[in-house]
Amino acid sequence: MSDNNASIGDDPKIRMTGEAGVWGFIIGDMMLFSTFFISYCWDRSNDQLVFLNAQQALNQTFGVINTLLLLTGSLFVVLALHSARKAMSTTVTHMLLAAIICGCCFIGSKVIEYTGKIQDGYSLLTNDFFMYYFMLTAIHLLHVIIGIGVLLYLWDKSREPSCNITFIQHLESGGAVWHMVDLLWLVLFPLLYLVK
Amino acid sequence: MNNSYLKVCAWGGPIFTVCFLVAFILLAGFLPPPSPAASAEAIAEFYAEHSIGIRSACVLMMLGFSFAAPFYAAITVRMRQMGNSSPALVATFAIATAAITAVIFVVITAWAAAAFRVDRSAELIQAFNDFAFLLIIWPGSIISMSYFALGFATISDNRAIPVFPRWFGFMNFWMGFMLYGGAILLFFKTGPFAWDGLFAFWIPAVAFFGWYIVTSIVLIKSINRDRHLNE
Repeated sequence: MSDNNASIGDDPKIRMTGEAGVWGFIIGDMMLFSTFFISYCWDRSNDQLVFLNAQQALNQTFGVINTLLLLTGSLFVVLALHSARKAMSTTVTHMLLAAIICGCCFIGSKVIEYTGKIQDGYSLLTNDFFMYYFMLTAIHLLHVIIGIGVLLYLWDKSREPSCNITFIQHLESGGAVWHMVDLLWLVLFPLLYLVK
Repeated sequence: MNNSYLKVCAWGGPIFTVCFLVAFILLAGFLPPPSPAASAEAIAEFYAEHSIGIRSACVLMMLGFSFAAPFYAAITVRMRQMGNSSPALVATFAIATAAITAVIFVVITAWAAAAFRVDRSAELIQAFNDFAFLLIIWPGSIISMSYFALGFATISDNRAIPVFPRWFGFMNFWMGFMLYGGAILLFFKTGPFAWDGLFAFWIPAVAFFGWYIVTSIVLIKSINRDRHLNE
């Protein structure tokens, strides 16, 4: 909402960014993830040695690459929204496509990471740390896939000629969902890969 | 069209919810549920001690759950009355809720079979107990599908005053996700993903019963509001 050059649908007095229901969903989903995080920290504090040792097996490079991919994806979504407000529909389509590619690369890198872990003999039954590692990242990955679905829907809509207020509102809502997926990873990454 | 029974059907939701909660928590003592890590002897002892309570609970659940059918029907009818109503979503909701109804009857019968002869071998009682708890928590995915169908129908409603409020659609998506916590319970006998754990039991239980409570209120309010339209 900070863009001064904006022309379409950018008057905060008239409407809110995105849609109330979507924000409700985002808050609800973040509450759900908060219980995951609290449960993880609780079990970790009860069994710190096992968690610390198991954590050594994770490759932080993957974590960093994942983080960069998601952050870049979020940047493209923001750029798409700015372009949409300036009615530059071709740029919107390109930016959304770039965000979708970032999301797909994230899935690819997770598949490589999982394959490596399974080949090294780790599974979600190895110990509590790997149970949380596989489950939390898989649930997050599911969110990434749903987020990509949302972006694909927006990308499809953005190719229609009219760039109207409804589309911008959908873009804001969809963008907020994508940023939430990003934000959840920004908590998940230090919890699983970095906390000592 | 005769809409006079719509509200009667909608009241099936609260009746089912009250019967099921009273039976599950107060009569059967299934809160918290028996641990999947418990030995066969411990499970058999639990059923022997609660034999009358569990059988009474099964009777009440069996009678109460039939009221879910008219409740699902009332929602299906309201979905058809939405603006821009999608027959595919209505059919998905109807098929998924019919499947849930059938599954719950089998679950109740499995608890009943376990409590029916408490003097038989402990392993058999444990097997029926396993079957019942696996069957009530594991098929959460089909319940989620009904929530998603209702959610998409709700947010696609383009009437000036929609049948259900838009937030209700997004709440369905959220609760649908919460039910997936039980999807991998086969791998665990302890911890948050086991059938008595935080993510497989407690959060889905909130999503399951919370949905009936909120949906009953939203549905009955919407029928009251649109009464003049339907007559």
